[in-house]
Amino acid sequence: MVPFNYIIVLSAFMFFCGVFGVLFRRNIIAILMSVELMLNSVNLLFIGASKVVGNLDGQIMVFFIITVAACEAAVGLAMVIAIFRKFGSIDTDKLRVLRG
Amino acid sequence: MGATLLFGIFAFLIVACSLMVVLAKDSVVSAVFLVADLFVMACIYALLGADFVAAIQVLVYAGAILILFLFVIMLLNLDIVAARTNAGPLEIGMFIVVLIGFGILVVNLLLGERIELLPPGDSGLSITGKGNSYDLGLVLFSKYLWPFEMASVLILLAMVAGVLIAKRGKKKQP
Amino acid sequence: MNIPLPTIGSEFYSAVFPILVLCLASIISLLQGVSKGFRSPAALLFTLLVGLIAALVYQTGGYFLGGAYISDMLSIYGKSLMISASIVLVLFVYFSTLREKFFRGEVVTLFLMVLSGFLMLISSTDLISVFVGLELSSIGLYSLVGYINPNQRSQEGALKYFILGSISAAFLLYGMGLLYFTTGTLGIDQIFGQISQIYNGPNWLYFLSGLIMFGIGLTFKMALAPFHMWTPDAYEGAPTALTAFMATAAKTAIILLIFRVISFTPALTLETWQPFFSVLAIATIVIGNIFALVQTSIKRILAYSSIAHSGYLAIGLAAAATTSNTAFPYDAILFYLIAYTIMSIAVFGVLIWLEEDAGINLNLMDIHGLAKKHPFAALSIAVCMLSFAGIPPTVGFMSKFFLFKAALDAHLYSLVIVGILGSAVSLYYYLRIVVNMYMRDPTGQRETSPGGGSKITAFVVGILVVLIIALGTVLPGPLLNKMADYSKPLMINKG
Repeated sequence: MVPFNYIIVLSAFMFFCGVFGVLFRRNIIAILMSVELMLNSVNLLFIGASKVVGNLDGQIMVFFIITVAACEAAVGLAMVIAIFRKFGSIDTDKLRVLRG
Repeated sequence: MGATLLFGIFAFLIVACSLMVVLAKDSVVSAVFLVADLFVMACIYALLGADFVAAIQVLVYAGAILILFLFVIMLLNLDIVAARTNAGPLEIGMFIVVLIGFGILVVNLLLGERIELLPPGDSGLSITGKGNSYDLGLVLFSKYLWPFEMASVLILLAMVAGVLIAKRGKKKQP
Repeated sequence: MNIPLPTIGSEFYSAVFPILVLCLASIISLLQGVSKGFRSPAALLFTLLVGLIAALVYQTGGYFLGGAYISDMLSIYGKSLMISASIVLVLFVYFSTLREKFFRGEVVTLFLMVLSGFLMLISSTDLISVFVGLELSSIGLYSLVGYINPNQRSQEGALKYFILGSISAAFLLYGMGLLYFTTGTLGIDQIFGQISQIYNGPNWLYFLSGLIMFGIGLTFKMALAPFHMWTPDAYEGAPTALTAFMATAAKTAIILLIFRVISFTPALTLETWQPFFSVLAIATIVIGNIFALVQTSIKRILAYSSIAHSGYLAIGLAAAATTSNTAFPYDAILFYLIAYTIMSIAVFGVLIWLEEDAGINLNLMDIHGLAKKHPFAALSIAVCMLSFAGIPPTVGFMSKFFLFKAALDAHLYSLVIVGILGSAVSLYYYLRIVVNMYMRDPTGQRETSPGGGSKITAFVVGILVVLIIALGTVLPGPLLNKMADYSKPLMINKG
């Protein structure tokens, strides 16, 4: 197997893609998906760390991260639906959400 | 040797899929690449010895959460929104900071010392010999019982919040 | 190798009793919301109060499940403070126009679960419990901010809060991942107890980056600069009572969490935290006070003032991260939290009282000439503004005094100077509100003028105002000494 360094870099790359998506995309659902990407990169980090450390705690943490990601996705998508119903658009430039 | 090759293939697939998730203009394309991403990640988990977590990832994450995303995207019937925006200096600054962090990690990968993974069958990772699910259950229900129970409250909270947010209000009086 | 199953005996149940009773009350109110006979706001208020008071009065101490749940003096302090604040705020809401919207089954359920999330947060020493408690409270707050009284401003504020909150949760988690990988464990005591060993080992850079990312996540939740961007919009969009709850309970919970993290760091390496908190404190005080100068909406002014107060608290945290042997910085911060809670609830209570007829989001124009129409309200706001600014004889002055004294003891002279300058600058916008109330004539821009809330709200605000003055003049000493009891658990590594 590969040394852990490669797993850290891979997980950091996914995290980095997620940050890029959150900062630079205008579609709210795309922003939510980028957040999911970031949470997944952390999952990878924990599983790899679990194999380095020799513990099962990392894998348990992944369970809880998946649970929390599901809850956040549910609430976030509900908000998107509510906003779409009210404003008719989910373009953040039109909503001026992330400015200022 | 075979494991390293497999890992290389999976890593390449993840890099490609992650880039496509954030660069695609259409949100349906993004969602589908995210599903592929999650599936490849499950393969990596299985490679790292966490086979039960891999199964849970496919079932819950790819199989429920992203289906929810796709439902909402289809339901809202969205127009394609442009992928770039007028990013202020704050966003570009944050992006550069994260980029520098990533660069440092890559440098460490190439030049720093290697951190080796433990071999399979390590006693810490397989407490009894009976497999990943058995061991995870043992740890989850003994050491992490309390957050496990509160996670059920969290899920109930998300359900109630989802209904509160998205429920249609009363019809206006004519 | 066998893992021993934990013994869940009666001591465990009595230790987690507050959280259990809050969850039970939330389920009961959810059922009430869909029942036919028990849906009225009065019935829900009954459930809410019974749950809150039961959670307040009964708890025992101890360490359970290998440290995953701690119930010590510090968590009792946090629990009492947060639940008392919630009881007062719930009463304020009941006697305001928001009654029908807040006392629905779903909303009361969410509120109780958010509170139990905060209680879980301050009672945990395990990173998994910290994460679950944090997300439990945060996800509930995202939805409550926007959707008790949905309108454009609150929905946008909630969405912004949600997106930035999720990003910070991801940063927090990545930091936890790096900390786990370098230390091999997920318990806070073990992670931070090993700082000195890791410092000399090969993984120091990874540990440091993990610490920084963990810190970034926490500074977001505490509204410290430069991650405070969500605060003005979320505070302005939320219903006023919920704003008060966020400003007081959320800050208290995060500060207590940071206390636990600091307290487990061995005394020799404690000073590594100082530069981190000092920089954050200076940035926050500067940004919070400067941005508050140009706001016209009262809730936004209070939001930026809340950011500035986080900055003063960060000065206290920097003072606490020293190698000296005293508990005084901890006591000062605990005192400051109580003082800040009382001030915030008082001023937001007056705002709730004023918003009765005029609708939401008062700005400076609306309170012109308030002293003539509602002298009592104007006096309460004036006392609270003086207290926020730190002018004697209010408790705000005493709390800042104790805090700066703790910082001076720790030789943090530059921080004290920044704090005093910040307070001086803040005087401008606090006094501007007072001047607008007393020395301007009413402009009559709205159809109905502010004011006219319930007498019970007025009565409770009156008590709080009296408390502000009393604690500032005759009672600060005894209260400070009482705080020493509560900070005992934090002294395990000092001396």
